[in-house]
Amino acid sequence: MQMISDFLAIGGYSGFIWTAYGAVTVVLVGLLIVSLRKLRTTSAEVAALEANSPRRRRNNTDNKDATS
Amino acid sequence: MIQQYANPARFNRLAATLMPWFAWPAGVLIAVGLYFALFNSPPDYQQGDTVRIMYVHVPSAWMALFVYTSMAISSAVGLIWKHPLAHLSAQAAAPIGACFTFVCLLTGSLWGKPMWGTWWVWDARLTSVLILFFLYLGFMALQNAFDDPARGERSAAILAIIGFINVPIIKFSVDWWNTLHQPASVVKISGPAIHSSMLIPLFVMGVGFTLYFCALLLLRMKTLMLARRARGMSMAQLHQQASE
Repeated sequence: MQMISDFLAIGGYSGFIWTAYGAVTVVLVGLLIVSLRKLRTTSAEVAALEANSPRRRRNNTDNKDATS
Repeated sequence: MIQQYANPARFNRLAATLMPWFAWPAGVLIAVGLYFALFNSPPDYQQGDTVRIMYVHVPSAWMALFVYTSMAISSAVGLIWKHPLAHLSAQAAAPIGACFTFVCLLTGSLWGKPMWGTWWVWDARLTSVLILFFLYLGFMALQNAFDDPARGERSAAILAIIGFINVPIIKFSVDWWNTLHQPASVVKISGPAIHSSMLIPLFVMGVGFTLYFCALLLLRMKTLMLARRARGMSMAQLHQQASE
């Protein structure tokens, strides 16, 4: 009987503990995934814009980036 | 000297160099910290196993304050010296800080229910951390509230600086008011009142979370720079189309 009640006591706590750790994992990993995805879509957007403007003197802008 | 990193190309190079030094140790330290926190640290003599929530709750709380402080400093640098990366850094940090604060409140609630018998009380510590969470949300909302991104940046920066007053209030709330939340046991003048078997995993998690923040901050700053570039380019293309 004692064993069962001990188990239930820990079981009662483990619900809180695992929920806490689960929430931390979901939020921190979720933020990482969202951030990585956003980086990927934004990079793709920039690449598409660059491909879209062949008349832009790309070398010129690159030089400006490196010296300003 | 710091001005030279205002250059996007240089910043990207620096970020690319630093990133693995943040990201990998962050993963390793958090994994080691979790192992200690869940398997290799003793239950508390009063709180039993629920003390294990501390290993995620306390580092999240540290990060909530640390990230806000970094945001307030970046905002001040952005307003005073107009360093182009400063506002960007504050903008990149805000969602990370908001997530840490949210996690801190949630895990605190999950710790409070079994130990205090309540999910939430309006005591000074809990309330001031909730205000911190709203400051993060307010910062993000204000930033996007203007058509002109520069105005949004400035307004949000002012909010971040004013809101900084809340940081010492949170830290000392447990001393200034009678709170249900316990007072500090790690960062205090007389030294930590906590055994090394708990202190070490706590610090491992703390350093792991800090490195996670640094890696994510660089990643998000890079994204914001690219987004700015995309905005500039699409505007230039529109101008070009209009002039043709």
